[in-house]
Amino acid sequence: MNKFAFLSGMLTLLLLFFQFIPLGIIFGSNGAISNWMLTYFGLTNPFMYYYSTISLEMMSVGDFQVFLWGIINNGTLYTWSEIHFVTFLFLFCLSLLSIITAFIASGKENKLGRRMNNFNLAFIGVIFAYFLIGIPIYSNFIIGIELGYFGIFYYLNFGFYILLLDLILAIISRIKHPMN
Amino acid sequence: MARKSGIIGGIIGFVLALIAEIPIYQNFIISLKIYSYNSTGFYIWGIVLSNDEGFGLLSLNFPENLIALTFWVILIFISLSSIFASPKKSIPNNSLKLYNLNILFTAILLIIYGIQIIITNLSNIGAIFFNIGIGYYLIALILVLNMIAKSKLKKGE
Repeated sequence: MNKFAFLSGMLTLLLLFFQFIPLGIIFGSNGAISNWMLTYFGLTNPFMYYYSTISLEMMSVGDFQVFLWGIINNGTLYTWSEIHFVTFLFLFCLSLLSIITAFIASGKENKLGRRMNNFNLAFIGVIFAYFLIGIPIYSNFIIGIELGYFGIFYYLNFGFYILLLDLILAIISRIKHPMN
Repeated sequence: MARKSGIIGGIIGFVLALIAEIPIYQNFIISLKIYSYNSTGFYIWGIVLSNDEGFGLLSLNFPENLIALTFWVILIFISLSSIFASPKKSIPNNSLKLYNLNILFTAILLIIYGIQIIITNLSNIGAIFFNIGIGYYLIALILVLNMIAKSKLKKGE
């Protein structure tokens, strides 16, 4: 099993489908899931309520929080498909493909696994490059503020650094693949 | 066969890194805090004040937030690596290195939190045993489980 590819896939999965990582989870009766479980299954004391979070936003500018799956503006969620199609293709679709290729690469230690590893690295590389180059280009359309090429670095958040870690893991998994 | 002690150690690590309390039955709740001081509970992921208000590791001031984040990342690393080192198919040499790293990091965590617990109870050393939480014992358990996994790995060789 290629563990680095697996970790890379897990990180992309986190970034693509989550808004934050909950910290200090309490299996109590105050959370939304708890109420849902109570309403539909009559179960008390299930998931979950939390004290704190680690945000997975890629960057935040004013009232806008930018994620890999879309943006949040003043508490309202918008996916990339609603806002900007090119960004939807580059950030959402490529991330989805990256997750699939990473998990195949983690399970296969043959030529197919190596090929998938290369695809995973290429996808994450493109996502990374698009975020640094494409987002400033389209920032006026997306968030209504024109960002300079280096201006984006002022607004980066934890999600971006997790993506950077993801890219590093993808590179290591490419180098450490048994077929190499 | 996979080394179960390593996998259990990893799962316990994840539980400590993410969860605050686990209810067992009605009012019997297991709190996973490392220690408490002045009714404030200190967890790996942050703190909970006496009024039940919680703060995550990133809401602290600089550089405390970086230190707390480092401890959290170390625990996540310990959890992941003890799970990854434990399957039957894993390379024994690499697994041994990971177990050694896990033992080292867990010992460092135990020492640092131990010092904090002693410092916060300097006026009444006996109170240490009242203020120490289950989380601290679970970190010690992760250390023991990793040692067991390492010894099993060596026996297997």
